[in-house]
Amino acid sequence: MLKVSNLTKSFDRVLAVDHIFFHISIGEIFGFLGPNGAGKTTTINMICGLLNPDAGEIELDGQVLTPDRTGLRHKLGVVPQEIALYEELNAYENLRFWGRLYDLSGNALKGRIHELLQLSGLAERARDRVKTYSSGMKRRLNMIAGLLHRPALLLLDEPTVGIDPQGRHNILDSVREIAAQGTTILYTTHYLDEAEALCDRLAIIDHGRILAMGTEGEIKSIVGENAIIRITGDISKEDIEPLTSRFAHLKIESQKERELLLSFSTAERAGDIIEAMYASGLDIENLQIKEPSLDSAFIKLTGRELRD
Amino acid sequence: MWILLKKDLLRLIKQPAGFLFLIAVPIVLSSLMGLIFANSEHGVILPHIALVIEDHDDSLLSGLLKNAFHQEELGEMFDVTEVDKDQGRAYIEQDKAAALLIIPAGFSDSLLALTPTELILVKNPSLDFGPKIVEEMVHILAEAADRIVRIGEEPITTIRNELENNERMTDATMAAIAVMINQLMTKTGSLIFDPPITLNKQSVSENESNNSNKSLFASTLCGIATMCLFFILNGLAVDYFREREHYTMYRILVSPTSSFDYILSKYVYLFFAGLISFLAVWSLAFFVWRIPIPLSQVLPFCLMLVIITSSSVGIISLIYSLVRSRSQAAAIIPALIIVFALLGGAMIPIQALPPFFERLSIFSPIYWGVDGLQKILLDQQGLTMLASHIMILILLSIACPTLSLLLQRRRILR
Ligand SMILES: Nc1ncnc2c1ncn2[C@@H]1O[C@H](COP(=O)(O)OP(=O)(O)OP(=O)(O)O)[C@@H](O)[C@H]1O
Ligand SMILES: [Mg+2]
Repeated sequence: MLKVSNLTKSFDRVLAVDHIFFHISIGEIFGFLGPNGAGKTTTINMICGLLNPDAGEIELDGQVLTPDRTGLRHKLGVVPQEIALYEELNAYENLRFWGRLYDLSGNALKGRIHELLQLSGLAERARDRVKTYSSGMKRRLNMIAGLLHRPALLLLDEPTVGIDPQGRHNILDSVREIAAQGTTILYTTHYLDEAEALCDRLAIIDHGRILAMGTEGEIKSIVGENAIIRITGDISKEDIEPLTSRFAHLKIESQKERELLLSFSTAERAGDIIEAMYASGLDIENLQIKEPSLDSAFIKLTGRELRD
Repeated sequence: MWILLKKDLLRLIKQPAGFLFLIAVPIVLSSLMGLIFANSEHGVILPHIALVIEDHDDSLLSGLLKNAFHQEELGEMFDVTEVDKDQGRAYIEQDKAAALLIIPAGFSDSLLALTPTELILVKNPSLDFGPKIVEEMVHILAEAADRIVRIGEEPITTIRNELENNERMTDATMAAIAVMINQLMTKTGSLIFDPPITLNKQSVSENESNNSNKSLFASTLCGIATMCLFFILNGLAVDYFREREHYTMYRILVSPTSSFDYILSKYVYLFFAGLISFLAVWSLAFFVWRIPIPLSQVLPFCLMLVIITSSSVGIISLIYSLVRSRSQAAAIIPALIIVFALLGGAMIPIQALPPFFERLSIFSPIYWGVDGLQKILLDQQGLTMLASHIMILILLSIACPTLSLLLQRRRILR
């Protein structure tokens, strides 16, 4: 369906997307998981032809996507990260306009708008100006505006940012429903649970590079069966060294001012390590263990957590 | 492209406050001028009056004010001496002057800030007639300024509240409008001096004076309407930024719509909206204020309006594709329009400009529009006589949008 090879883009001095390769097969929900500034939106912008890549190629159904091949965009549905709607118009007028841009018209358009308004639960408010909507409602409208023309590939850029848990569930459910109808989806997020719950395969991206890619299980195994210990307090690397030499599978992953991330293989017993830590008189204020999960995989890969 | 255009017009209709206000400014101003010109039918014979002016402000606006006393008819009536600070009273005491006009420091600042200002008039008690005339003169100026401020201020505040609530218009537009009103205030302020004097000189028959009033009105309106067109387009062109900030441009550009169509639709939108407002002002002038226009000139006049609008759209779009941000646009564009208007003879007659600037006026696009309109309306010139005006405006209508198109496309596709 979509094949991205060697895609690269830099802004001034930032290398936003750094030689990435991935492909998405038909019917798949592909997750793009990365923290703020990872390069997710930049990648999407290149796919939908808004940014010229510095290098690399994007193929959709075997055809190369370039900014001037606007015809190919009929196959793409884009839901931007930001709310992109005319606030002074109502939901119906917005959808009618966005639909017309994809050559929809007449009863076909009307029917589709109606259908999507029902799906998103906005039907009752369709004649109110978007300005008067809650942010959750705007999010939903923002999403269905990208679905009007039944795209073959839907690019969803963090569609759940800034809405309450119930609204998120609502959106995740709709995404599943859209996928069930046969739409291929590229879903970017910085929420792990969303990626875990939704995606068939996913890529972890940070600083413009794909660090790992595959199914959830595959990614965990790439990283190894490691758990993470996070400690805060007045502790330096040197303080830990006696411990790392004692436990062969204990490693320092990263260190910030007062925070240390350690990983250890499940070959060790967590209890032993912690006991040894306290025994050596370290000034530990807070200690946290994370069992092997996508979360710990992410920390292991990027040296940081998804949300700081 | 028509889909995009229909959407923009729908948005305009759905939220008309901003647009109506933009149109209202020239309409209110031209109405005001119409009233002023219509009412100035009684006059007195004025003797030669010695007037001393102390300018503590020394700004462009105080300069304009002083200039008003020097201009043709007024110049004949007043014998103006400008003196250094605090020297004026001596003239009065020695009976060398009938009155002393003091322009206080900060005069132009507070005028521009829409706060009340004060001109100080010192009358010579030993003279009887002269000082009274000066007082009348200053009074007329003050009253007109006051009227404009009151008419202008109320809508500004109400509209501003309205707009803050619905975020339709921006500070840029507000700034543009405020500057425009203030500029026009000084403009009408200095104009007010003219009608009574014109009348005094020509108190032979009422009809005649009425006609000369009307032609003065018409020629002034040519300038004001053209300048206002630029401000209106500037207000509407903020849409370029609005679509970007609200990410609607993003969504349009990821659809099969090409960036070319998008930019083109904005031009057409600006053109239609600009033409509507331009026509509104002129309909008022012709049907309500009865500015005479021979039938044979109607078509050339309309044609002129169309090409003025299209060239203005091109120029405004080009400027918009050169500025980087909304705040830059708000800072630069109104100032640029005023410079164009000043040089183009929209605010004061070109003949009143210093010779150097007079020569520069051909570089102001406003000049070609204003001059063309005046020639059609007042000198009854045909289109063939205006070939150079038309060519230049058409050239601007083609070159500016093309250049702006290229620039904007480059910016959209990084
Ligand atoms: N137009 C631009 N000009 C300059 N730098 C940019 C631009 N767009 C993105 N960047 C930079 O590129 C990097 C990647 O940004 P991008 O928006 O793709 O991240 P993201 O993964 O979408 O993050 P977020 O979760 O915050 O949306 C960032 O460092 C950002 O500062
Ligand atoms: Mg993003």
